[in-house]
Amino acid sequence: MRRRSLRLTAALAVPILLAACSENSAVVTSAGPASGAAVGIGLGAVTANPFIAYAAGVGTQAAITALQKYFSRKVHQGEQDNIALAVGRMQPGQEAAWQIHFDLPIGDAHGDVSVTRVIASPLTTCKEAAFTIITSKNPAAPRPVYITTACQESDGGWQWAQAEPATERWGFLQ
Amino acid sequence: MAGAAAAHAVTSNGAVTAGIGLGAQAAAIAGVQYWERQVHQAEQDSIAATAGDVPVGGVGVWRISHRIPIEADQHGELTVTRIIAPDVPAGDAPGFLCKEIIFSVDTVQHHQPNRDFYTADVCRDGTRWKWASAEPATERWGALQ
Repeated sequence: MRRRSLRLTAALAVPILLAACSENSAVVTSAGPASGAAVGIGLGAVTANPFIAYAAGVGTQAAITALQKYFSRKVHQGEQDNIALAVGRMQPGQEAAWQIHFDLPIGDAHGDVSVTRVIASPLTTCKEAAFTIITSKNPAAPRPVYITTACQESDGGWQWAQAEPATERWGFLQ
Repeated sequence: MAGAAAAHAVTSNGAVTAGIGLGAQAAAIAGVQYWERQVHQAEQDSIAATAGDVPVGGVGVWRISHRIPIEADQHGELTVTRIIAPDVPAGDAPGFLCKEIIFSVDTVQHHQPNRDFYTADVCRDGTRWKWASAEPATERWGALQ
């Protein structure tokens, strides 16, 4: 029994790694339940109890979802830190390139960033910036533009400062 | 798990037990998310209400004490950086009045005061002020869901 569960652990690791490596969350989200179900079906072959197979599938899906969220958040945090860093060094009207590179072949991205406004205030200085995110090497790939804000922290560094949406607009985000 | 245990007490059918367990788990998650949203809304309302009374360039203090301890009690300062309103002739304004704000969340980390700054928008909704920052573009939801 122990040997079998070890083999299963290795089998489970494959979809988890696939999920962690995939960059497009929409793809991962749809792959999560599928791979969970696949594990359940696969387990059905080695255990006659369909409930155990089903429960293992659901558990795997939860693990994939949690891992996918973790990696996705890390990738986004890296993007945000790099863009905020560039914004901190720039003045309005300037444009600069930003990029992020990971050791794993996931999440690499680059683009341009431009400071559109300096927001001076009694508390701290913030900047409004427009930036593009390019995740593909294809030159014809779309170059979506977004707007955000970064603020100077008390240690002098710059951090992404865009606050969360109104709770009434959380709907599908949770 | 508690759901499954409770269900197992009244039925010996494993599949039914599993179904009730998963249903209870989904309900529990939905319940936590509901309360989390309620509690966080109270924090947003507190900041928005404070911002409503602060003029451009002024500084106000916001503070929230939660009745339900899902989130920590928070406080900080805020300032209004500009008024956002439609550029229409006086008298024709449809009533949109918003403010761009910078607010701090003041905490203590490793016995040292720590202050994080964020930006948001608030808009007047009748007689009160409400948080008005919309959700991120769906293409940027990745890490949020």
